[in-house]
Amino acid sequence: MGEPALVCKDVKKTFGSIKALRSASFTLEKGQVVGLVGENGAGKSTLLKILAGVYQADSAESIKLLGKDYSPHNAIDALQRGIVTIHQDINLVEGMTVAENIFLNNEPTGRLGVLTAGSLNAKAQELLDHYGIEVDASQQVSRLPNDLKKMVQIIKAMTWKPTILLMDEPTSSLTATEVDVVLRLIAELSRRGVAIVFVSHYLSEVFRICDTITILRDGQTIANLQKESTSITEVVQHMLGRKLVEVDARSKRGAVASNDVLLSVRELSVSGMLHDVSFDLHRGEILGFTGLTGSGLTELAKTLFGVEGYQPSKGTIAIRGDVKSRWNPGKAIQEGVALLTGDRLREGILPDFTIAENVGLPIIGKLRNALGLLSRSKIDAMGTRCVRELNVKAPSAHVPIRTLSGGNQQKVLIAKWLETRPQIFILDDPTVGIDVGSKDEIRKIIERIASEGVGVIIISTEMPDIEKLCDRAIVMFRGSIVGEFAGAQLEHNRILETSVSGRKAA
Amino acid sequence: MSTYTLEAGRSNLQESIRRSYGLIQSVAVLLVLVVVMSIVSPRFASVINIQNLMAQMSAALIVAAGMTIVMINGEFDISVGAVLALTASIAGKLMPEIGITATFALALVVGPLFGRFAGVVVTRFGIPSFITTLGTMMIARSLAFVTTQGQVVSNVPEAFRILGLGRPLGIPMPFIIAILTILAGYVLLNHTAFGKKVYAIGANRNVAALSGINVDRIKIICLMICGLCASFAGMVLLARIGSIQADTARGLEFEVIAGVVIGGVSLSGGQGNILRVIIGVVVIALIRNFLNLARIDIFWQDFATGSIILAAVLLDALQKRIAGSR
Repeated sequence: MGEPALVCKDVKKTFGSIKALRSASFTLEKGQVVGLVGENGAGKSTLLKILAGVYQADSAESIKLLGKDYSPHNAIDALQRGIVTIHQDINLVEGMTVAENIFLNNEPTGRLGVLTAGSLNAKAQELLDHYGIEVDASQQVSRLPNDLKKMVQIIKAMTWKPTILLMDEPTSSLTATEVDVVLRLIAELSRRGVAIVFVSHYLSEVFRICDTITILRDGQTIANLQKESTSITEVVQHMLGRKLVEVDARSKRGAVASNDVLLSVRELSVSGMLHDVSFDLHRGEILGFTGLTGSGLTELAKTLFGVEGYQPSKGTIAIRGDVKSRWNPGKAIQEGVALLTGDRLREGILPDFTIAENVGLPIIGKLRNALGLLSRSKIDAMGTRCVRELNVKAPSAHVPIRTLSGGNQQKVLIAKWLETRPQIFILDDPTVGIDVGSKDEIRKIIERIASEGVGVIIISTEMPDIEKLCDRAIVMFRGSIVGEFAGAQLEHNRILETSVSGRKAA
Repeated sequence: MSTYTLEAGRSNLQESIRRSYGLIQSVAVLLVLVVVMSIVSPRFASVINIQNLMAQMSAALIVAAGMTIVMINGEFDISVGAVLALTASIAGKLMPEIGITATFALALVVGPLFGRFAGVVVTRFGIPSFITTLGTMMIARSLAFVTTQGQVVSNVPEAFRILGLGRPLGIPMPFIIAILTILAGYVLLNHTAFGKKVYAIGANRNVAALSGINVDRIKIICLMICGLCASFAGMVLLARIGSIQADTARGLEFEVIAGVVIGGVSLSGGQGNILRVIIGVVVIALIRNFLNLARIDIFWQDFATGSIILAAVLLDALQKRIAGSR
């Protein structure tokens, strides 16, 4: 086999006071695929960016590329040394043809430096055929489906004749069938001698195509395993570490959810986002939805609320037994559905509006006096009530919401939806980006809402939200439900394993 | 507890001062402008000149009421000048035939029809309102020429002209009408649920939509209101002048947009006070009037107005940047 393609030993990198990489090491043989896995923040991206020349390592015992010392000064340096990155996003120019994209910035020049469309197409077609990809090189990229776009992106990288391909989540934007196609191409490339670093949250895919698996946790290499001699369960345990494996027995809230079904979803599909999602939500229940980023969680929330652009292609949403059609946020609010959006800044607050104005937005039509004009006193009363009841730290309800901290803004937004008197309250990542104190307060508010009989859906990638709050948790994977956990089954390990493998863990 | 309420009171006061700061500032600029102009040109402060000014700026003020609503909503309507001319042309032709009341009723449908059409195109097909109303502007202007056949329409009944020539307490009737229109706009924007929705959509249409507001419907209504104002301004202008030509009010849209912007309405929507817009429109009218009185070469007048608009907008952007960095 000779010299390994790449050897990293004890790579370190700090950003300010944060140690992004404490000690990362792995070896990649020629023609093999190494899977780089770990939780968010484990250091995968940092390591990848050091190899791609975007960052420089603070220190390393050694990084050797084909036996020679390797420390690229910048991205171009890395490219010239034969290390090419394929980014997570499909960064192709939609309006150009496949051939133009493949050779963008790397144009083969003909005689006299002239470049003809014909020769460009021919060269690109040759490459595509070489890898057995059935795409017409003269076709416009915007007309291609996502998997073919990803393939074009990979072929574009191949024009640099790489020794090593760095692939960052190459399948995250693809559907399950598209994943197959792309994985086959990756396997084909490795058969032809390219060494590949495959970064992914999807462990089932890692197990399909990688020869070895390197697990990072808190910036350290925890283990370098041969695929044959390990299992998804073992890898998940390495990813989480011992400390997280022990989980307290959950303190169940007093009342068990009733049998009164508020929301009934059947075979709900949105093309390219959700597939055959079915579940029931009961009165007083807190139902959690979790999964990897991109598994369709936010999309589910928006579809349930009837947001523009999320029209079901199939399936039904029934509220208290009535199937709803031509669903939109206005109707959803009337039917007692509320959605706290996950993106507080872009989809939640109006920064220059006062607290009271933000709260009153969905019910503004009801805050009128006998003349049909807005009633100052009703708005004041509502604003003051919200600030007091949810313990919002603000001098009054008439200051702009931008002057509040993130946690207090979130409380105001929860108040906004409580004012609509919801029976079904969907909260998308309710504790994201807010301080610990507010997180606890918000969790308490959610429990109180449920104890008053509201059906609550919590969508979160933060395990504590799911573990501490939910009566039941549903795990999604690429737009489908892959597991459901309740009671003692509802714990971190099982949920994470299901999230990354796409199969329900025992 | 007592310190808490004290702080609350103080910060409320600060907040209301901050909110009216722009208004106070605009009034100050206006006063300075008036004083300077009175000194430079003695004729400026004469009763007749002031009365003329008021009458002349009334059409722009009425149109500005609608434009403010549309711009706070985050859109533009550049068809207002053409719609004004078309309405006045149709009214001028019809009035001798079918009488004042019937004409009025018909004329006030013209603008809302154009607004509705533009609104549907903007919301249904996602075409920017600036481009959409460029199209409707040309259509309206052309129809105005078709209606008048390029002739001056002038046989307007005397009874109708009271609307344009009356002077209760020495104040020109068109100016009173214009101020009442702005006040109506103020009530609509600040004291109705509709107004809050207009602001919310302009500030962030996603947030508005996710709060259950029917964004498309509100946008269409805003453009219809703007059209209504343009048509109404056309009627008032017709009553004041007594005659109309198809190319009346060419370029009015930009004069009005400039006034609205000087009046502090954000170009990206969501912010602005319609009362301050009065000052913006008045400032533009004053400058034009002053340039006339000072006998500045007519060819240089737009140069001067343009420069002042740029200066005002730049000053505003600068202030926002300073406020933002604090």
